[in-house]
Amino acid sequence: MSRRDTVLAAVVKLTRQRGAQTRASDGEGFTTAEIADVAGCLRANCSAELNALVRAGLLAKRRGRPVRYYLTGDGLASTGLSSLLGPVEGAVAPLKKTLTPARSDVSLRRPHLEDDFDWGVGAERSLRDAVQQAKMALTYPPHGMHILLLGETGVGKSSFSEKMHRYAASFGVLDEDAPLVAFNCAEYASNPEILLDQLFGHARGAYTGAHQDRPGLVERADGGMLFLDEVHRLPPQGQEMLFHLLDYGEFRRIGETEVWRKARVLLVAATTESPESALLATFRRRIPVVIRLPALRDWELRDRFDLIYHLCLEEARSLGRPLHLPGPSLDILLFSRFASNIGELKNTLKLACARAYNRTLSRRTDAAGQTPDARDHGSQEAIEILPEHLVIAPADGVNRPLFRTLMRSVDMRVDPGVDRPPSFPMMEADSIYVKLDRLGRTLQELGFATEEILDVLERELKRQRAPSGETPVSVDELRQFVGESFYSAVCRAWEEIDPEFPYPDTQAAFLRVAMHLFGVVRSDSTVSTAASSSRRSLFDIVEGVRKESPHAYQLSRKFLEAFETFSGVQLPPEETAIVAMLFRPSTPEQGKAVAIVVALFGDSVATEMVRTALQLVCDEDIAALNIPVQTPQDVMETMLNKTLETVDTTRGVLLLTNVPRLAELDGATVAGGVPIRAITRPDLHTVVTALHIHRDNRLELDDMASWLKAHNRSRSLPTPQTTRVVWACCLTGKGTARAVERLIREALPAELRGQVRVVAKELGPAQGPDLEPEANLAAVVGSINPGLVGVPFFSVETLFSREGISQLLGVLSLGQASAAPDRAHRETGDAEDSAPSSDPDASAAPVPDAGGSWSDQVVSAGGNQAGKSSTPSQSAAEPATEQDEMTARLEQHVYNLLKRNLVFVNPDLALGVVREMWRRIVQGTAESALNAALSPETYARFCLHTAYVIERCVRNEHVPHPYAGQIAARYPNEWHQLQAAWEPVQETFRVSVHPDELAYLFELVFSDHEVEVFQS
Amino acid sequence: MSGQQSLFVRVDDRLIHGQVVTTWVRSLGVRTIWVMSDRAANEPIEVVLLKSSVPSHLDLEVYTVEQTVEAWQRRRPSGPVLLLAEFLQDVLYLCESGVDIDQINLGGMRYKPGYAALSKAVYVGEAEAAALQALEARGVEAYIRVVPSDAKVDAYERLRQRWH
Repeated sequence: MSRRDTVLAAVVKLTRQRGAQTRASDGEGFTTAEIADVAGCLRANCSAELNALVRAGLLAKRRGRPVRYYLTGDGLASTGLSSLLGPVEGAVAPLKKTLTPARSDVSLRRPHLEDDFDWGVGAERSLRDAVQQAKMALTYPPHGMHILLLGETGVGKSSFSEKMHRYAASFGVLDEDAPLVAFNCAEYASNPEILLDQLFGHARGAYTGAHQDRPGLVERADGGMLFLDEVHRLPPQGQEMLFHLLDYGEFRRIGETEVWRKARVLLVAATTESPESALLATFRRRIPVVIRLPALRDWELRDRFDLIYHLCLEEARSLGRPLHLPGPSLDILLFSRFASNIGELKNTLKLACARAYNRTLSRRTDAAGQTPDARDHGSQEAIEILPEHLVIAPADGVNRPLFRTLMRSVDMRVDPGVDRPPSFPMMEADSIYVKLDRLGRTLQELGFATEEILDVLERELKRQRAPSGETPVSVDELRQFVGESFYSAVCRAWEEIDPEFPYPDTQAAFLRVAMHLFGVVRSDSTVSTAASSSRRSLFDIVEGVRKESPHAYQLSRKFLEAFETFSGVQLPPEETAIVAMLFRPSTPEQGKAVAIVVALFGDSVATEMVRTALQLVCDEDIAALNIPVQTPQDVMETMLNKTLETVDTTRGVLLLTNVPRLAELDGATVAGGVPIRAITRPDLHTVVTALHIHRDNRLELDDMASWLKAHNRSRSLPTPQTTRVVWACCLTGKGTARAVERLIREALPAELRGQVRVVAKELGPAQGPDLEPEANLAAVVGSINPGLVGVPFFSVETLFSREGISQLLGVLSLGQASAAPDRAHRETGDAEDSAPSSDPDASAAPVPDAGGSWSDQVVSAGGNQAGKSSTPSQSAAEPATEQDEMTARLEQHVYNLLKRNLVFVNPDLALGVVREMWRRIVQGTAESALNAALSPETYARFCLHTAYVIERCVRNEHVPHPYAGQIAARYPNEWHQLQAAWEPVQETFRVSVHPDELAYLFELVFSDHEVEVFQS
Repeated sequence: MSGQQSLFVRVDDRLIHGQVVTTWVRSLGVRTIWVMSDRAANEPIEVVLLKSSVPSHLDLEVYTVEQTVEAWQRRRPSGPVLLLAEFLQDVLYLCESGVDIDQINLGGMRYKPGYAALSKAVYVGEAEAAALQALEARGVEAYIRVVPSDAKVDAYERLRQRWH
């Protein structure tokens, strides 16, 4: 043992002694003299060692005279401490129990928030907050902190406390064999004496029948954990005794007056009471850590799915038979309300198993004529749990219709011998559920716990203000986001003003206001003291609103007064004006807009493109005009005029066309004075962009045209990828802005995340018209439109709809520097026959974009091929119009097929990654090796096939290939290349590819090689 | 009676696109593939795509159901034919129109709401179940088998287990 170790051991010993002897701190830490004395070395030597230990981070110094040293957190849990202590017997030995991990092999495992302790189902999502809190509380030096555990009946409080106990033991906070003593205070609630006797024990003669001393549970829990369930049933007297124990580590047996007994217990007090109840207030004051376990209905579905699996596994094991839950049964377990939470779910399942088991028994005996053989033989037959076996209380049968329709029914099979949870079936990244999932996590990060879910949903749906046809999802999501109590306060307040609400689209206004209030309330409660300077500057706004829209102001006051009453929240007076502003629609929807006509060669290309664009952006004033290739030139204009009759042309027509004859109309007027501006060679991006800027109806036709042209040009510039900026705006306080910022971040697909910067922006009243957009500003999201020309604005409520998100993503990917060959060409492309671009960067394959068009890649495949037929440097040669059309039709077709055929995988997402795969393969392959593989047809087949492969992988299936091994061995380079190309799929879908599937891909891409394999 | 296996019928609603079909081509040694789908046959773009999907040494035709009946009666090729049907119901129609089929391979029938799984790849609803029952009544053998190396699974047996 080195001198340094001796010195350290001395500090440890002193720490222990002082902790045991006195709780009144006489200045934390020990002087060099004290330490040197215990360590038995010279003071000067000791001082040197102490300084070394400080440098090593094990000790810290307290400045002053004399300097004092004390153990740091690292020092307390440090490695080697237990082995150091080994030789020191006696006084220091008990320390092992409390300060250091008991075994040297665990001594290296410092308590850490990212450890691998298994907290069970839901720890990573639904119970994440609870688990993190527990870890922090338990590892708090030196002995952990007491915990108040809240949660409804049946949410698993006692099993959570068992987990905490094991965790504390495995991390050395408690002794390895430290006791866990559990007691339910409700057991003797009617008889406080017995209850207290149970807890604290009694002395002989304390009362009649107390013939001898008897220790209580507290003593049994000494050095360990005491779990008191239903702690609110503890009588006041007992509470005081308990608090004395917590504060001083002392207690008395009942009937004892002389001595204080000592016990060190880590208390976990659990209750189903709401923490606001008066009784709990005393507990809350004494117990710093409050952990709330969420109700089962607040669990994320995915966790609930896992939970069901694990419960089934238990049942399957105890029955010794596989279980099979067909989709409808699983649905019931997933979506029923279960007022008594996990406990009830568990009982329901057990009961169902029993019923199903009986049925299989009786059926088998019927069918098999009661031969014992048949019984044995069938013992591995799965027990099928049918919906009728599941007995759900009528009140619990309230389903979650939205989730249910969104989720695809799947079967669950549970084999007693296998503990491999099936993967959760929801795979669509843009499905409402996944978005909710994200919202939930965002919420958790905001520190907000959702209270109640969806049970009043049905009523709410009927109360929908918006006419039918509108999906109620946004309201639902808002509810999830802001929490039930908050939501209902807003709702009830809104009801007060609903009848007199003057503006159209009440629901959008409702969502805006609710979101805003949530932000305000959140920021107030978290940063309560922040004197908001921006608030003060809102004074002008208040006055302005009061004068300009007195009615809205009145309404807002009425609403907020009601809201304050219902929610108990106090809002600053300026809020009246702000909310009044939010009442009004965020963009003036009145007034005519420019009409858009998409005229393209082909029997249905224009229609398809418009249809797809409208899926991304809702709009009305857009018409499609299909021009069959053989149409005579002079008929084209007539066709256009006919189409124009179907749209409102008062503000002119923006014509997006690849028909030269029609493109000539740019700047002309048709049909009796309708001005036309033409944008040539539009792709889906162009159409979507046009629709976006079109919504901002302040733009005149010429503005739109020049903006689109400029936009096309800037897109085609071969600049490296630039970071896109999104502003998350709000009027006041950063609450909304920050929440919005989070929402956007969460909504971004991985490949965009690094390229999009979200800036929370606070817009004061002074700003607005003269606000300067920053470079690369792609979109503004917020509760108020700053009105930046050319920058699309998304109101907050759009973020709560599927369309809203995809629109935003569309805008974000629009500006990506995806220098597709045809685009580079389009720069000069106003004329129909320009020279091939010689820009070397123009041949770079495009970056895949999420949510937007996927047309570029195919065009580039065609373009590459066309380029190869000329010279390599001209790889961006103009694809023939017919090939264009062919690829356009192929791609649309592939997309349609995938939409029809993919069950688990989202076709948009799949195509995104498949395109990226293709790009990698094309990039990494010598031209000679690819040969005909680059045809648009091959590309289309590749997309189609690979998407199917992804779907199989997601389902954990694969199709066997007879020669996979041979191919891999024979063409290692190509094989490796394909494996590498799979990476984007791996990232997005978290699935790896089976070699057999890779072999099929190989055959598709390297078709020449494949033939060789056969011939050999 | 046509010779056994001269018409190999497979139901796969992804037609060729599942790529699985190449393994069947190998294992069966066919040179002719007929795709039977009213939808695909009426979509020129799909025909192009399908035709580009098979190696050049194979003949591929895309027929409507009616055309298939006619082709089988009038233009039957000399070698065996792999008939890829999109829908089970079409195969039943084929039987009813006098095409002699003794075996049907179920390779892929996608899930729709309300469908029951006969296997991971084969799902049936009312229409499919009825078609299967009719086929069984006609004495046609039907089995589930995604690739040649899979074991045969009796589709009728599964239907009885899984379809109520």
